[in-house]
Amino acid sequence: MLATFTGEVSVKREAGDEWFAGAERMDLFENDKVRTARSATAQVRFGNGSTVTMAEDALIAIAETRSVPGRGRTDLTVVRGRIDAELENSATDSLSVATPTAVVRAGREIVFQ
Amino acid sequence: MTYTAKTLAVLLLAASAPEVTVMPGETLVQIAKRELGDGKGGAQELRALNGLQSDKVAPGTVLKLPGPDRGLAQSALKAARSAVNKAVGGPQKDRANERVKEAEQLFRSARYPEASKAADEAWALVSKGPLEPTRFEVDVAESGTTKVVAKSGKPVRVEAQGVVHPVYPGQEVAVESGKPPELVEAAPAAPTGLSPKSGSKLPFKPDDTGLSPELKLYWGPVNEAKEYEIELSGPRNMSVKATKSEFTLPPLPAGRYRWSIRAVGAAGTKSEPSELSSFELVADPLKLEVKGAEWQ
Repeated sequence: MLATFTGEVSVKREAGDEWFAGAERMDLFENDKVRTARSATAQVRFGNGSTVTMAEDALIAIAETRSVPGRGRTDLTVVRGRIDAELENSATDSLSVATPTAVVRAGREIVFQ
Repeated sequence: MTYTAKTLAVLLLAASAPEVTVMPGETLVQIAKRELGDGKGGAQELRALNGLQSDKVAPGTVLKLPGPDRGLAQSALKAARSAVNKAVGGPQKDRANERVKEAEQLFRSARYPEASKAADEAWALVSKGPLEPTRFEVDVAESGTTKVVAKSGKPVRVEAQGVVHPVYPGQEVAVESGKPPELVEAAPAAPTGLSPKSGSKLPFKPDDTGLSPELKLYWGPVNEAKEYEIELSGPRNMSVKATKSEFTLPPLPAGRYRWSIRAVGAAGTKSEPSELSSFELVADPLKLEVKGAEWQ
């Protein structure tokens, strides 16, 4: 969910080609993109208990299903710019963030079987 | 069987461990200094890794070198030592200290994953409870280079090129395209000026040039500092460097001076400046000596 924001924040849906103005408490879905303009910020809340605050001039994609081969699905991709992430309870919350060069995981330990 | 992401990364990398061939006249300590950046300690690791009984190795011997798990263990040890140093004294800190020593012994025995685990446990013993939120920052440049800064709570894990790097609060990792994560050296803590005490008035008898005798500045040493930068302003300004936590100022004219110091880490990162300190050099008044009682 796009919880709150300041300044110019736009959203593009997976199925759409156009960017449109974001609205507070707007639901976000897989492969949606969120963009902040200069001097804008946006707070995105995830269902897993984590919160991400986007700084200005940032672009993120939500839970991309078209992931990079060999790389698991992540909660969001930071395409450019800066985000500050917070997990209130690391024992139960988790967040995974992909970037062009790395994957960052926080919270519950990832266990493979 | 269950694996953590970290274990998987280490298993993947074990298949291609680096090696070095001993050249004529080379000692194990020299090889360790060159390849690991640590002569004596590194030689211990190489002995353990290669099953050697002594530091004597014949030229032409192929020695195994540590893989990326050594860097991970170093990072975990650094975070653990820092957390233990900052912790308040008590049984928890003592247990953590013991665990750090165990981690260091495991490290010297080239048992890096176990050293990482022991260091992690030491860190967890003295770090704030699990209720503290985990906060971190991710910054992606136009080039795609990613910086991750862990700010509080549990460490986060950064994965790239098959290497998983833990990032503890206060640490920063950078990932360039096609490369594994690399720890960015954090800025050292700001030093604290000790002597002369701020606000001191220091009387002196000026020499023939009217200047003070030499004056020593002292400040508290900073663990991560390779050197210090001192800034002095007043009737004479100065910017100098020192490798110890003291510096002898040359003779100076009387007047009010202000000084501050920055610690500089091994990679050149600088601390914030210390709190500004001041002192005043006061020339003793001249004594007039009149010979005889009659003016002519």
